[in-house]
Amino acid sequence: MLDSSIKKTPLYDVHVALGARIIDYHNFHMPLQYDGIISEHKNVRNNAGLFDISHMGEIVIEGKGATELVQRVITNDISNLPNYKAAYTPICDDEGGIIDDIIVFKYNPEKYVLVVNCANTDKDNKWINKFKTDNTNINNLSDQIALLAVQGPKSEDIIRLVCGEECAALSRFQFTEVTRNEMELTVSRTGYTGEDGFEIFVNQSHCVNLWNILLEKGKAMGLKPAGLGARDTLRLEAGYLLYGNDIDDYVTPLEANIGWTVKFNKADFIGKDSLLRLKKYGLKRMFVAFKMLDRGIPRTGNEITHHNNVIGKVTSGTFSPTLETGIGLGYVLKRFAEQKGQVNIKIRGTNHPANIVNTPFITKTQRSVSHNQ
Amino acid sequence: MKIPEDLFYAKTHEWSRKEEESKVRVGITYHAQSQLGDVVYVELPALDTNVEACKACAVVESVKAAYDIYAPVSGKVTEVNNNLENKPQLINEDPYGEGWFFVIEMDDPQQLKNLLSNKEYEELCQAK
Repeated sequence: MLDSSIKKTPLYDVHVALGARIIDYHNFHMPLQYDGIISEHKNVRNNAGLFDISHMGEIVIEGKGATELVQRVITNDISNLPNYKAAYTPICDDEGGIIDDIIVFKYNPEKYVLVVNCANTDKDNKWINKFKTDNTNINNLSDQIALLAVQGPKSEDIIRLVCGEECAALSRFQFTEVTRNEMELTVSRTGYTGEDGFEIFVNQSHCVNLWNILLEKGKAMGLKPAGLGARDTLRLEAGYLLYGNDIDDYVTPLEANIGWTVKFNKADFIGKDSLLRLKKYGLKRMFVAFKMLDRGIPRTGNEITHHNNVIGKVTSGTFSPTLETGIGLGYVLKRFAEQKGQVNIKIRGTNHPANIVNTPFITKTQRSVSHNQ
Repeated sequence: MKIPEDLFYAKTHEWSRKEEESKVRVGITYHAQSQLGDVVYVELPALDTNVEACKACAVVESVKAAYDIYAPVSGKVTEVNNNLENKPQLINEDPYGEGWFFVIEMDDPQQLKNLLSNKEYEELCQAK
């Protein structure tokens, strides 16, 4: 029996009618898979997939003090970001621990929309409100806005057909506002799959309509629904972090290998002092990506070992549908991350060899090989 | 999919097919494989291993996670399905046929009585 206290997206009945397997994901009933994770994954790599990611949170920051507030809570620097551009950034606490990793959408210096992880929406909202000034308004619109993602090499053609040329012409991380079929849409060229792709924000009341139009018009180009299962394997192959698995309040951006999102040169921001100190005195552990050398499949929580000494832990692991081998992310003592080379992943008590590698796991060439298969 | 009548079922979703003498062939049900999703890896017991009823003796991994497979009866493993090593998807495609896991020579054939009939197993799946 489904727990009625758990939230549904406007597409819940559509997912059920499509035969999706529904899971509870951070208090949301979400589709895990429709046909199967592997076929949905491959369809995104080869054609395009349609994802309901309406569980994501949207927090709007407006007013004269909007830029100052955003700059204070994020580690990245959006002062020179053009209007209608988005940027990836962590939000850190005073110790530099990651409260959330988010995308900031800059409409203009007096309006920003922060797209946050669903499990963190309330936490982020509370945190940001601590720093609110009189000349800003903060609104959590997560219960009003739905979010669909169209991801894959065919996504540009699909977006051109449904949303128009001005949307298809967007550059990476650029976004625009359009009205189509009497629906107000915000279309951005962003995603979490390692493919070209778009995300479309729409009022919840129009969400089912937009989903149906996309599927109908995209059908000829191979667009099919894809669930959270494929979303996870796709992001892992791309080497993207997942909040709650790979990063959390106990990890800093410097350890998580997203140090490029911490701009020490900008004015004061929360966590700056701690992160500077950490940078100066050095890190103890470092984020790594690894690829299995045998048939073992790494999973969250597996120990990473070297000559039988535990040197770290796996934070995400899966079977890569493209590489047809196990891949994973985790943290190890710094020197093992620096010297790269071979480590072992302890799976059910047995050591399985793995190579530390750079992300993304998949290059364009490998992708085109998998297209031909 | 229909639940075959001639098999015995464990609450943990393994099926057992009685074969000659005191041997049973073991696999997982259609319901189990559909809950798992795409199977990508299987770890089978070694030949001649003694397995114990209701104890984990194999592992099946889907894209999402690893799951234990329990021995439905106690006995010795006399055959394993080596095809699963390179074609684990057989478990999804043909769970009651090509997707079998292993054969156990039972210590005590009476143990089959502890397992569920097809009707009882159907009720178990529906109760979920």
